[in-house]
Amino acid sequence: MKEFSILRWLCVALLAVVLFLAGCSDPDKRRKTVQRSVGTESYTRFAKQSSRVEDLERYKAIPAGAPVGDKPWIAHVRAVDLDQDGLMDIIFCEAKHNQVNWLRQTAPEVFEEIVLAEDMRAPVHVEAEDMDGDGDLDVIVSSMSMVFPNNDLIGAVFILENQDLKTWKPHLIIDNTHRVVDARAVDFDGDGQLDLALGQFGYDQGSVSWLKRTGPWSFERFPLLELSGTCFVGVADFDHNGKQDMVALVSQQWEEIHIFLNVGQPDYHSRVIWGSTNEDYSLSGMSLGDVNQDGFMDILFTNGDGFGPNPEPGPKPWHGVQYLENLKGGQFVFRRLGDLGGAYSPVATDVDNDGDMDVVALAAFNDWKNPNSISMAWFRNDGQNQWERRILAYKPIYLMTLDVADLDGDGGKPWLITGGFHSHPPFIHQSRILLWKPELN
Amino acid sequence: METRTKLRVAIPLAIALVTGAFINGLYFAKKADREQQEWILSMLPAQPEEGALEGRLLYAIQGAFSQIEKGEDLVAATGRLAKIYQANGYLNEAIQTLDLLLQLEPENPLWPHLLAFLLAGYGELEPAMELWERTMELDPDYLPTQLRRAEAMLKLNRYEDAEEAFTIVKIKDIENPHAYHGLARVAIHREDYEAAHQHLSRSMQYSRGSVGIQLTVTVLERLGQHDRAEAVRGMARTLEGYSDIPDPWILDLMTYCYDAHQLVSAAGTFAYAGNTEEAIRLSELAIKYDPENAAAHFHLGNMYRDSNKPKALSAFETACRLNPQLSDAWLFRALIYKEMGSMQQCDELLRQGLINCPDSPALHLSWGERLVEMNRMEEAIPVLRRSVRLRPQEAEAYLALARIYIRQSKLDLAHDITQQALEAEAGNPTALSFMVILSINKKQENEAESWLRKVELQPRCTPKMREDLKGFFQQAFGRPPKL
Repeated sequence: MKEFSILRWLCVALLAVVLFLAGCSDPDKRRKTVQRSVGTESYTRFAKQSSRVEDLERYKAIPAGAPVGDKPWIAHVRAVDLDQDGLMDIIFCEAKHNQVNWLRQTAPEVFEEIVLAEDMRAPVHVEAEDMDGDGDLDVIVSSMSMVFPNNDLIGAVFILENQDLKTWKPHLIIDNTHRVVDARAVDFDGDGQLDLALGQFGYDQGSVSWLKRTGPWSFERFPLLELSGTCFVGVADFDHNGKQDMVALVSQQWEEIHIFLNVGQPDYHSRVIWGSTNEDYSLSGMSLGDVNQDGFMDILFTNGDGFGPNPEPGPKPWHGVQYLENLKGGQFVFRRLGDLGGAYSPVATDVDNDGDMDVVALAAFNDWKNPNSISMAWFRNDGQNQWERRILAYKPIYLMTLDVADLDGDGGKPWLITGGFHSHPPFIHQSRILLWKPELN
Repeated sequence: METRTKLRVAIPLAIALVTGAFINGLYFAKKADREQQEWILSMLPAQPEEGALEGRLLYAIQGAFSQIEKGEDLVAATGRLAKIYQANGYLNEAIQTLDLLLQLEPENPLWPHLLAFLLAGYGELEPAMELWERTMELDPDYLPTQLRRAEAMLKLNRYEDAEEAFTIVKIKDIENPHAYHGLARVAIHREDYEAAHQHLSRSMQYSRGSVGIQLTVTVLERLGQHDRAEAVRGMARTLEGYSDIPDPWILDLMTYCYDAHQLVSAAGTFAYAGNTEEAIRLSELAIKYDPENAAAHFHLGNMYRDSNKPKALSAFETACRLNPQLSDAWLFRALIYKEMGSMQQCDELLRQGLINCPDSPALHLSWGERLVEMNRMEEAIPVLRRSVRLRPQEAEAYLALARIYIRQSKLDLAHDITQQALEAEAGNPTALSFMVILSINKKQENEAESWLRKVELQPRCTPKMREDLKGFFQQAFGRPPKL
């Protein structure tokens, strides 16, 4: 009986050991269970750190025009050969002094500043088109009347009629309306006359409209979208149907991009093509360019507005540069290029002349207490639409507006033109108009 | 076999099974924990180096890592790490850690919600939608997720889906202003302005006017109700702003924030939503982490302005010392002394404020008003005119000047300056009432009646103000106004 009992207990112990070993046969069991429980693709693909490669020698900054003065507010620069003499000029808005000015290139790389118009009520955007069909370029001015928050109906559009390159007669096109931030000329209805695309920021209320030409200097307004916060409009034939469409960048609490596809003479199909639910996303700039060079116009945009709901303007981790790739047929897909705190004014251009489109952008509202904060960067396209951020400048700071042009007419690498907008401290490293000459081969 | 014999075999067998399973379980659990811990560490972003981050933040991150390395409550430590990264703006690291948490604790709705919020913040709405849908499966009662998903549908041009989603929220929470606001946007897209107006009325009603006021103006214009639209436009000046969807899971992140700037921003959000207690807590936290942050002291002072004047004064004083250019800190200190009846201190602070902030329209206005109170009218006029020049878009300084001219019986000047106030701020109730009174004084019956109609349409004009003005009209012209 006792022998039996010992044997029995031995068996029990053996069984326990066997069970123990059996249990240890699959050590990854628990971990695999956890991993299997999700089994979907990883979201870490969205965690991308933009590089801090310096490229400070690529451009040399050359001041142009009047001296910097005290805290200039250059709201917009546009490169255009205004006098059509074969030398590229620059027109720009000085919002604080209510001026629209012309940097005329009188000889290669020699610029003379001319005031085209005063009393332009805080102008923030200029374009040049031949509005009266007389063969010369006139200037379209968008005026907010007050750059900082205001919901009054104080916006205006002027057209400066070019009479002899010396006299620019102002025509008030619309008045007593939501603050205007962008007006561009295009023939929307195919009647041979230039109409206007109009973006009105307003404040609590605003809109996007097209203005049909009804007379030499008169237009009729047709609203397409009634939301506050439109910063920019863009015009292109996005769907290749032979008619001019519009896009609008709508900031404030909406943070959306809308497209208005012109399907008639004109009849618009409007819809939102992208948006963020982040009310502090801070949409700040937009331009059009064929980023992937597939023949269809894409939409570049930045988020980095410093005037959000914060105690003082500054960068946010989600600020950066991106574009909506036109997939043809009016469909778009979001592509992030990279981070840039306080990003503004994206422009597609071939910075390194390697045949693909790169993107340059400003960092207007970066952390200016930190001397290592980037002021201007380019995003280098490796040809496969992979992007590397390269730092072009740490100063001057508060660069708000950018354009690119072949200022020396050599057909080589593009020059950059920037405007400084110094409305917030620190009031250091100020600039007004800078021409950035390409230096590196 | 006999029962007894059976038991003799079965009991040891059972003991063997239990013991084996127990030992096995212990060994297995320890080994699996160790492996899970190694796996977690391999999946986490690299630990920041000493000196790479601000002290408190670095310690917090190192603390979470240390807990994981010791194998203590791995999921909780990883969760804390994710929140620290997200709250302090280390979003790439937060994405990586939250992605890991989705695998470690797939049944917790918090992780997909936080990750969705973060990705949507970058503009990546499609993956955010997937994650919000996962959150909803795990916690169908958490309405902020449903609202955020519905908002995302609007941004993705999915109006029908958005309508359904907002309607579900409305059914679950009949007084949710954001649901009505979303439904209004859908209605506007369909150009159904009557429906939009109804939804907006509700969103305004349930948000004390903070959600939907901007669209209300547009919708009233579309409905041809231009006078009402204009009246609401005027109202927007006082109710200006937009409140984000209240989301306790997102707001809780601030508990893990060591960045004074972000804490101050969050405190402002709480204050706006009427949660003063939380706003004070976050402002104090910001000061704890950055005692030299003038904005944090200023915000704290603001929070205490009504409830605790000594604390408010102390906070404003610190803000002035740290940043003498903070004009509102000088102003609010002065105004508190004024409320307490200490006029000498009030005046002294206004003077000091103007020395430090010579371009502050608000300080000029308050100093001008003090001069009026002291009956120093001629000195007040240039001060108030300076305020107008510095801030021409606001009516207050114009109206302070108008009051002086009325007292001096310079009615034409008062009329002109009040007209300018209305150009600056159409629908300002005080300016409208001045215009009624000035017209009555000038015996301009039709003009007075016309201004009274504007008063009637302006919702900011109180019933008492309306009745008083109608009474003045009746007294002056012997008949009630035709409105």
